[in-house]
Amino acid sequence: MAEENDPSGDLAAGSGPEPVSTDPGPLAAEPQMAAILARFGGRLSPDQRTRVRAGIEGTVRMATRLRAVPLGNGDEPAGAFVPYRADAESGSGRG
Amino acid sequence: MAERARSGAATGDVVELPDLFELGRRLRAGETTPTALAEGALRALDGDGRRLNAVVTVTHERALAEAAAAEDDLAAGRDRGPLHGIPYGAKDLLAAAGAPTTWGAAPLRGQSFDHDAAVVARLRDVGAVLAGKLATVELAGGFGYDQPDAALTGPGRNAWDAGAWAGGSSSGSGAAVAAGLVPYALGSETWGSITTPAAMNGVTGLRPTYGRVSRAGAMALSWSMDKIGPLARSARDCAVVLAAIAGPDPSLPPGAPSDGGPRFPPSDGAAPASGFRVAILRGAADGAQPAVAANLAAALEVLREFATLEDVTLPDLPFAEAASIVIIAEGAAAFEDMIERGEVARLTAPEDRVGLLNGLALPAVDYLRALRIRRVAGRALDALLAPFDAVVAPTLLKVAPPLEMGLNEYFADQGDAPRLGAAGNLCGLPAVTVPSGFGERGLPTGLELMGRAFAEDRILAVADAFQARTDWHRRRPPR
Repeated sequence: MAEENDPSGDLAAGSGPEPVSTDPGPLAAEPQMAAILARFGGRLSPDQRTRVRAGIEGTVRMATRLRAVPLGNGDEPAGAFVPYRADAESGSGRG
Repeated sequence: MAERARSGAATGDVVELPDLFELGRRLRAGETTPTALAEGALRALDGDGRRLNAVVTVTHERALAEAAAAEDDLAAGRDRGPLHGIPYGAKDLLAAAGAPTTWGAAPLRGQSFDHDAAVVARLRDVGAVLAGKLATVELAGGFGYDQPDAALTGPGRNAWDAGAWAGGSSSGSGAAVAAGLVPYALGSETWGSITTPAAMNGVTGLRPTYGRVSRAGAMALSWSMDKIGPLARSARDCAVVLAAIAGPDPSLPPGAPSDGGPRFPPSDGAAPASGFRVAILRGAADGAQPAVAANLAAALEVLREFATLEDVTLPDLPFAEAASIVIIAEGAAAFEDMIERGEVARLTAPEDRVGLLNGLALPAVDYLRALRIRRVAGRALDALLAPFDAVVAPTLLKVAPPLEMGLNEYFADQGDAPRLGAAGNLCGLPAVTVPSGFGERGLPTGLELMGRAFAEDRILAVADAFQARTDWHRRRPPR
């Protein structure tokens, strides 16, 4: 847990690990574009390919910005997995 | 006070449309009946509702049956509470037995379910009357639409100006309440889909905390960001509806605090509270249209009458980027089969036909990084908000765009002002938008109040005190 790694809870303010941001570079979208074309290329018009490429370039840019946020090894995703148990689902069985 | 609030570019008349308390009083006094209210709503939805493209299906048969049952119950002394016998509309991504549920998408025009969404069932159980399924941007706008005309019912038209957009994606819910077709409606928000149409149409809209209201039976765009909430004539009415629809969400892990904390307790005639502590988002009006900024300044003067105000700055985190990545990844997963089958080729907006394809190639680590940042962001935001009842900012920096204008083009010049929507939706926080005046082209503006998770009671109480001192929420478009 982040709280254990960083009792100050101040990772986002920059006191934790260095960010790993990198410039995505002009070719960063190509692997994802290739994956989409391999799957759907036959049904995409030139204009639609342009739109898809713009969308991928957008997510690449956004992901790069996300990588600028310093996170520790223990910083877990929000929305933790909960092992299933039927009687817990009704709220009666899990302590 | 109200006189000062009226000094802006006001349009419309102050119309004393009855709120939910007054409708309930009239029903119980025998001044009207559930059937009469239902028939009025059905006529209005068939008329102005169609004119505004606010309606997918008018649920005549169901409404009259529910109204008759409500009438019988009242006559027999079985009073089901403040929504008993009162008609409403539901965004057409909520399942309702006996009517199509199209999700606003042409390829799903014939889709129907044999059960009610949890929220529709909860309202049914308290005697509410479903009068119509209301228009939504196709697939709740998750495919990246860039134009008002992105729904099988055509562009949602604004109740104040049919040549302006009603906002999205809960377009019909906003327009129907503003035009007085129904006293309240249900909408849904993944990112802005309640607050935007509420603000653009000059009504009050409440985005509950994520998990406060069950999503069972609702179309999923983003499992971890979708919320269902009311659009209504006032904060009090929103509170009444929230109290009826809130409840545990079976899709959440056991133990999730889906129904914790006190609620704003509305009661007829109760005096609005005071002594609040309200934060102002620093720089939130930068890049706003002049009237939006002026209306914010006027609203802050009203707030100052009953609250202490203090400037705050959002944590420096990529809220918008993280929210976008989450929605794109979850939306692509939710609709992968539909995309695979090629059904998206029949969507209305050309840009939607290839929307979310980028999500199908998004690296898993990018999605997980967004979720990791979400946890960091949630802690940081909660620390910021803890001392306050609400943080306020303009709901939108511009009034509704003209129907013929592309959305990206219209909103392109509003700059990088800090916004509550991305942060609040990423972190699942509640917000209420209240009408704050009028701006360009005589269209409404809104004030957003956001609070800590599960603190709907606080933000609604502040909104209620604001509405006790202003009359923006009582103005209605000329007919």
